[in-house]
Amino acid sequence: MPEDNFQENLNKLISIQNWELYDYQKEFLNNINNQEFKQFLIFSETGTGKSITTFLPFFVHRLSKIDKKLIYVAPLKALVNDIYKNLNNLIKNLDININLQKRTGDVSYKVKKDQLFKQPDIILTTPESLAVLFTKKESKEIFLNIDYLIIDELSEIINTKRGDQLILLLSKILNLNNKIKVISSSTHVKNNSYLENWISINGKTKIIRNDFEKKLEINLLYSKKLPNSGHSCDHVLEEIYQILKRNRTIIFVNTRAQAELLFISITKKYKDLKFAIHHGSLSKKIRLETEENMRNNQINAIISTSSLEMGIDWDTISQIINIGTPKGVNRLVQRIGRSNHKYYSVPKAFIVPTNKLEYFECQACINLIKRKKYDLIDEKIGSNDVLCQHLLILSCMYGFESKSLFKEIIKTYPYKNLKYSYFLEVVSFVFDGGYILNNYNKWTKLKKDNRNIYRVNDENNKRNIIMNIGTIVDTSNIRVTLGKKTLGDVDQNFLNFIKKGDCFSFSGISVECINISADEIRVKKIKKKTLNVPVYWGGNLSLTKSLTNEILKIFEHNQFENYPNELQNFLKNQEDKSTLPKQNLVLIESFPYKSGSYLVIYTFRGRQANQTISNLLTRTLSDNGYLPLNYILNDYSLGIFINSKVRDLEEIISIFFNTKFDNLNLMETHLAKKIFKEITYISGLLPKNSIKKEKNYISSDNIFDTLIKYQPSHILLKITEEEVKKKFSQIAEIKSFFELKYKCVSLKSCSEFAWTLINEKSKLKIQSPI
Amino acid sequence: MKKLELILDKKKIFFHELGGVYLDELEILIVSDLHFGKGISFAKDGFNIPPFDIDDTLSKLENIIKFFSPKKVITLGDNFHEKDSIKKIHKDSLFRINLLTEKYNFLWITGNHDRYLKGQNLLSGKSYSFYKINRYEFRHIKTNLKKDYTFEFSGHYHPKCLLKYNGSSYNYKCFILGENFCILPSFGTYTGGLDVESEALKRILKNKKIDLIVIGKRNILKKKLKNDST
Repeated sequence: MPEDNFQENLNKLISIQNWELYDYQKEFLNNINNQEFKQFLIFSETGTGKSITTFLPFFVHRLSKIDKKLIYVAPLKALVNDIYKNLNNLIKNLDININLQKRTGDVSYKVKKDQLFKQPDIILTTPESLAVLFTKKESKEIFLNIDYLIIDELSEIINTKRGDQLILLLSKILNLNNKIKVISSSTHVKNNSYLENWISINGKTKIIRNDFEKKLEINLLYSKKLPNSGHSCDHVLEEIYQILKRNRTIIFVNTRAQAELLFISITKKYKDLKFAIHHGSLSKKIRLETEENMRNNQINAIISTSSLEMGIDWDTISQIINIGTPKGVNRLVQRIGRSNHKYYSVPKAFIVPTNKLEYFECQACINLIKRKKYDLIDEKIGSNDVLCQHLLILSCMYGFESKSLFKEIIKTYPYKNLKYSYFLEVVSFVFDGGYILNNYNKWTKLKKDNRNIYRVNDENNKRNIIMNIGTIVDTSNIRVTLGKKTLGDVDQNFLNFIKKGDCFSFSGISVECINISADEIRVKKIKKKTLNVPVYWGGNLSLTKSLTNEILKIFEHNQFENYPNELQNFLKNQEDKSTLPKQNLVLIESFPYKSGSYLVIYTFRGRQANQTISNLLTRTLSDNGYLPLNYILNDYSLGIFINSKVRDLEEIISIFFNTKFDNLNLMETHLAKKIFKEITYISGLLPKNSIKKEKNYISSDNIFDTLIKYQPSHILLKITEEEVKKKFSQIAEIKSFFELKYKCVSLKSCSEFAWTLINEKSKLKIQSPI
Repeated sequence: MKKLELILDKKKIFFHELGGVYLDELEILIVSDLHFGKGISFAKDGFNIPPFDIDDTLSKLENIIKFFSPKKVITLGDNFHEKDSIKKIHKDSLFRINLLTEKYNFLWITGNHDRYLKGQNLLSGKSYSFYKINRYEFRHIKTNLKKDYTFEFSGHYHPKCLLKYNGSSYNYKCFILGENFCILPSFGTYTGGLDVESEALKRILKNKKIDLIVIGKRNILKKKLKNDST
């Protein structure tokens, strides 16, 4: 289409919509037809219309009846639903005939099947559903037909395993069809170049920056009697209620359990407002209903985890409440952006600390937002369990030949350093397991034809592969059903905690368990409210480094008079009894507890760094005759519980700070088995879901021990070591930790700060007490 | 290797950390739920888990046999994971199994997994669904005993238990020891466990005085089971 025609139709589009284009949108549209650029990357703050902008070239072309096809990939189903609604309105306004369809896990099998035979003009999907599409023979035609491929909210997915999967799929699509223009959008991050490198697989990328700064109104919601520990909001319920009464609100919390508990507390006390819960474990029907009700003003507030934090622009939301902080600046800005989602309007937020230490975290987060300090996105090397899954996915339909596939893969940024010999080990693993003992050669999953192309060898194996696609390993696969209705899923682990007759709250409903089977909990509704809620595995975000530093700065500045009385006292008590940690002074405490004692280090370096330091300290303790039994961590500190007294704190800490941890055996750390478990599912070694009904169960720990014993060089153990190393990525950063000064304090009992720590819920095992 | 010595009916009985019981007076070693071929059963469904389970189970079996030097070995069923496991097991592994079973006078009790085992003739040792020596009875699944003077050994349930310590719980394989019965833990490398607090085991153990012989990482020790009825 000639340029002037494009401009003409663009003018038509904006006049119909009564839009005025912002400069960044103009820049984007001026360049979209430039053949020099294969990829486009738009950086713009949340609430500035960047998602819809990515669709504009498509619509302009369609206005002149030029047939274009598009696939849009978003990290969240809720975002897909919302984009769907918005595009639908746009299509109605423009009065053009466009076949717009969703393709996510929530869409029925039949609809998805129809899409294969009649390709929609726009397919809205997620990385996982895109992967499943690769196993259908019609997908080739679909990929050959598309003109635009959009990846929304890139910064949210780029350094995750889902991002690895997406880039591998993307490289395959572009290999089939290199005419596609890839358009991606993201909020601002500190290191834009990472996103640029990642997306640039097929030549030059045009970067478009919208430097418009949105004003935000952020309030710290404080009321007296802030607890010393825990994550409950009961102390500020009345204040929260007053805020909710005024306007429609999304309340963000960090965990699904927190969502359920807050729902119970509020609905118990305040009957005049209507609430709903939204989190990833609830059934699709319930989630969609809730989203619909909020859009139509049927409810006053939604309590949500991160499942609603992106893209959603319901103009009915005029404020958000965030319980605690979401552990980073970008994420909080995202969440705040859900309110007053118009370009020039001011989003409004209330940040609610749930305990005294968290008060300072909230304050620090607000400070950073005011100074526009965006988070740095840590670069991630591609995970090779995802590569295993990629090979399996390809084997279902496209087939793969090692050499040419390898060339395709190393074009992607996360896998650019992959070695061919290593890649062949991965191929051998997906082919027959890759074991030194070649006992299974009768039972390979794949077969190799005379042109060296690997394909899946039967329908059963293919179905098993398709059923296990995805890189989010969620152990919440126990269905909760009420009559004929599925409420959602809970974690397998929850089965250990409940029995017939027990009550719990789920999806905001109080239920009693009437029957438990291996994959289902049947429940009935009860009147009585209960505070027993299912807890899910993982999902703990780690505090970003800039945020932890900011908290320490607050302590250091010593201007306590700026804070409410009880917080002044909190800091003063900590200082009197022990001391306050500083940016260059690590505080270490020990005190007797129950039948043993705790050793606590205040690192203020986030959960992930604390995980690493716990592992190192555990080893020092074991090497020096202590029996560490379990540990507990939060973003500020870590505490190790040992079964005896701490004989000489100074001495053991001095040994610890002088140990060189260069040759740490990563496979002996407690993280290794946990990480291996995830890898067994992603790589296809063990089924998350199986076509066989009867469960042939085996624990991944058992397999881990056996492999270590008989084939320590096996590829899955190599992958495990790489992934553990990634979790320990801050080894360099942690080296700087060991150069800090420290202060040891032996206490008779728990300090103010330690109290916050040891009341955290999940304790992590180190070793057997017997 | 660690063992716990108890006195049963004035005679010595040993509980071994690998999961076997040794009757000193009769020189009989008892193990249960070997599940040979479990790895293969995954492989044929397309999940190639490491094929080392047969070798590992055999090594453990050789070690415990060496430790006690028994005259007779009794396995309490589910010796093979599937009824056609013998046919699927590599012939080297089967050879190694037979070396052991010939030398130590094996007595295979069959379980629900291997009741209709194919290729039994390729296996040395004798096969029974139930066996009895003196007052001792050997079977796969525990029965409700009526006679007071018998003592029954069985397997099937793969018992394990959870111990709680400062807020975290730890998992251990264990023997369940009642007044006139003993349920052994599973011996096979890829076998899992069933919690003694689970509904299925609770039903079996209702109204009984029970000790657990817990196999810890460093120790093997006796613990009372807190039962609803006691």
